[in-house]
Amino acid sequence: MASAGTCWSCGEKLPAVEPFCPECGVIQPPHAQENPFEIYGMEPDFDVDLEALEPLFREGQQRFHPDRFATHSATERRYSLEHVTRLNEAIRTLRDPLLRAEALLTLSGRSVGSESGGAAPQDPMFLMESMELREQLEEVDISADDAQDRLDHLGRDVQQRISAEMETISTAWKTERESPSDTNLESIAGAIDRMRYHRRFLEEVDRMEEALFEEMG
Amino acid sequence: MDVLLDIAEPGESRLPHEEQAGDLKRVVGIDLGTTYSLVASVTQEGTPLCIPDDQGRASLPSVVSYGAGEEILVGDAATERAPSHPADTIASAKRFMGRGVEDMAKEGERTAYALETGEGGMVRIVTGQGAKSPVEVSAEILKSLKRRAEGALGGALFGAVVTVPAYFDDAQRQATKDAGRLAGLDILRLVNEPTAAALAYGLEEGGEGTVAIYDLGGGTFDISILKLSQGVFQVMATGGNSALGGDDFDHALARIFLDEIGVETPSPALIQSANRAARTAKESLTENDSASVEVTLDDGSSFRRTVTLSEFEAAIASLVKATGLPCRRAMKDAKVRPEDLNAVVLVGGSTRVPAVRAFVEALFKQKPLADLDPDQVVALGAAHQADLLSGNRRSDMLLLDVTPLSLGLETMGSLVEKIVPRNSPIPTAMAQEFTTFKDGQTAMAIHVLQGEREMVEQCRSLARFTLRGIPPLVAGAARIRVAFQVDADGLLTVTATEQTTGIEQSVEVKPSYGLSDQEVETMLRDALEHGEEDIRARMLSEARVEADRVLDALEAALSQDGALLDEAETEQVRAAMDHVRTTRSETDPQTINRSVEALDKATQVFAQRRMDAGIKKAMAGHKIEEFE
Repeated sequence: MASAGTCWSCGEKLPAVEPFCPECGVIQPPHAQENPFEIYGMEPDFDVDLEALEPLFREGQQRFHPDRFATHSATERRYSLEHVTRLNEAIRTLRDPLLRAEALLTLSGRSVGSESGGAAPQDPMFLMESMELREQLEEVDISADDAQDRLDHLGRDVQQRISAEMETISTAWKTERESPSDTNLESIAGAIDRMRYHRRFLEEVDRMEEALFEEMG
Repeated sequence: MDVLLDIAEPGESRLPHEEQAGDLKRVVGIDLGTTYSLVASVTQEGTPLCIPDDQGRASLPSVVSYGAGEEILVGDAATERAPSHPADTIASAKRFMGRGVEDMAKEGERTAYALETGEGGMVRIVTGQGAKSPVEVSAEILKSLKRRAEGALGGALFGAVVTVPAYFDDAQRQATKDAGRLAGLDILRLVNEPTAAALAYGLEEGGEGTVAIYDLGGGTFDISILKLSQGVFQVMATGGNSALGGDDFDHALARIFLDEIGVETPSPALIQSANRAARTAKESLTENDSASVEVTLDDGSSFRRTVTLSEFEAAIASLVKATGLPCRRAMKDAKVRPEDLNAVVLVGGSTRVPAVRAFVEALFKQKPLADLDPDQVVALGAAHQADLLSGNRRSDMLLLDVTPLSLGLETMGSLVEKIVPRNSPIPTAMAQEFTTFKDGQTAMAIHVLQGEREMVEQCRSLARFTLRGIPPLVAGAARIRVAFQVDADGLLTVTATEQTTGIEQSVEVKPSYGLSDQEVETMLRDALEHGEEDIRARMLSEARVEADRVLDALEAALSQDGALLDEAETEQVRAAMDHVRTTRSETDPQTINRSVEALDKATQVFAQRRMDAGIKKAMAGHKIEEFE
């Protein structure tokens, strides 16, 4: 492996962040310390313009995809693989609000205990509502004609609740940037817990929908 | 596909003919199909074309005949011998790839062959020349296509892109790669069939937009949904059934014939004759309302019957309907509705069946396209991808594919914990941490699975390995990171690392079903009579692969434990590595092997020190099935 700051292939000194050696043009290993936001050249933020991200994703793939290095040396092929794996991992985080929120918490560098320690959220109001939703889901009869409609309805309901949590996270992160405090991060952690809970509910809906598809053949 | 725009790239400027001719690498695309296989290459003008045999036929029947004491026949010659050698003549070997005998039973496979279990668990077919694995059978087909291509292109091939059904699991992909290795082909990349088809279409029509590729071949069904944008073909979702195809249409119809014939246990010859008759009827029914069939019975007499279109459609209705589930699932995963699709493209010979077309039209709420020959389009796309990979042409065209099935680990209670969800863009790496379940636990069993279901027995088992030497700690204290890496071919590597001690120790698993290395070696030796040139090319390719492997492994070892060497020692190792890199481009396999041996010598001290350091390290795990 080349020592930091020099091209592994020709030994030329490299500028700080440079995926290709400006002297010999050979691909360099990715910088391990970059976070998902930096990888796509953006400031860490909860609000991400997913539409604007797509061209960046394609551009990254065009530069680094293993297909572009199929006839190159094993080392170059490995670096290309590492770059693209990283791009794919990062975009997965950026596209997913839950992973994105978790990444922001990690980046804040401060550890906040989530209110429930990863178990179900404790708020009685929330638990009541959740139980009601679950009951409604259990009542759906997948052999009934209205099964798809009822699943869609429940799915949309929970999706709206997720959107509300995203709103909470977005606001808390904005406040955090202006005046950092543990209260902000705790509010984000709480929203993450509830989102996880909603996610699990949506997975249930998915499973029922699968069963419905099976019925349809 | 009139919604699609032209995407000719400014960067695609080509060198003049003569100049380019010398530099072009001989590369091909191969569609290794269940019933037919094809080979195609891109002309100097940049057009992909199928390469026909000396009689002008592009399609090679995927049939190999192993008559006792006779030469191995491939293609039409093998098909002709099928009636007289039913048990020795293997068709549709692709359905057996990466499969065990019990899989075949599970999938309700009805075959005319005598099956047995070979080393590594893969099914073998007993023939007049001994038990043959589907990998060997596929290798014969690949060799035949390779010879054809080398004849047409005037020299040894640099490499090939071989297509696989998008829904092939890791075992089936690995088996396909093994077949290529056995045929002496340098496989540049495995490409998913619908993705290859999309590439051929995209090139033909030029395009932007979202398309669905409905690919129903002889033995496999795939659905892929792609987004085309500025030359990038991005697979959004894929799904399918790797044991559903036109062969099943034949079998459904043949079963009716056999029931009517009323033989208790039909002979292989009778089954094959019924299947052939069913297939002829199916083909005729794409244009006619009825077809007459004739099945030859064992006593030489004939069973004659007329099949109407509605009878045929009733026989296959449940099979056609079964393609609906993967399509709905793929649309959901891609977050598209039928009306969001700019086009639906038909690929595979079985999409000629009118009932299939009608089903697709109803499902996607639009008339599907079949502008390109559904039999050739996959090979043409593969040829293009081979051309792109070889660097023969500058182009901004790029294929981005996904994992067809979720990958995960067995956890407590025979449940599967998903690590890489289906439809993740590849290459990808994902990891999860586990911890020990019991106080003082010193080993952990890791079981890698592929599939969507929750229970272990409902998923495909890819590999099992044990992480030993975990330091005895209280339950939950050890931290074990299990990482999944899926490469651009869709092939998986699993690494488990114990992190508690601060020193990393890894176990790497490349699931390899099918063939043990020793089996491959034996087969390669058996194949020695297949010509000097073949062997040399193979040895060269293997020497290079080995050189790359050693260099890669060493780079990894150096980055991990480089500190075990002092500066002078490091320099020595580096020099030996550089020597291997230089000789790698030589055409004499011996030269490469010698440099690798020299490198091996130069790193013995390093290896010894790593081993000493490694012995002191450890492993552990919770949730994962415990190991005593």
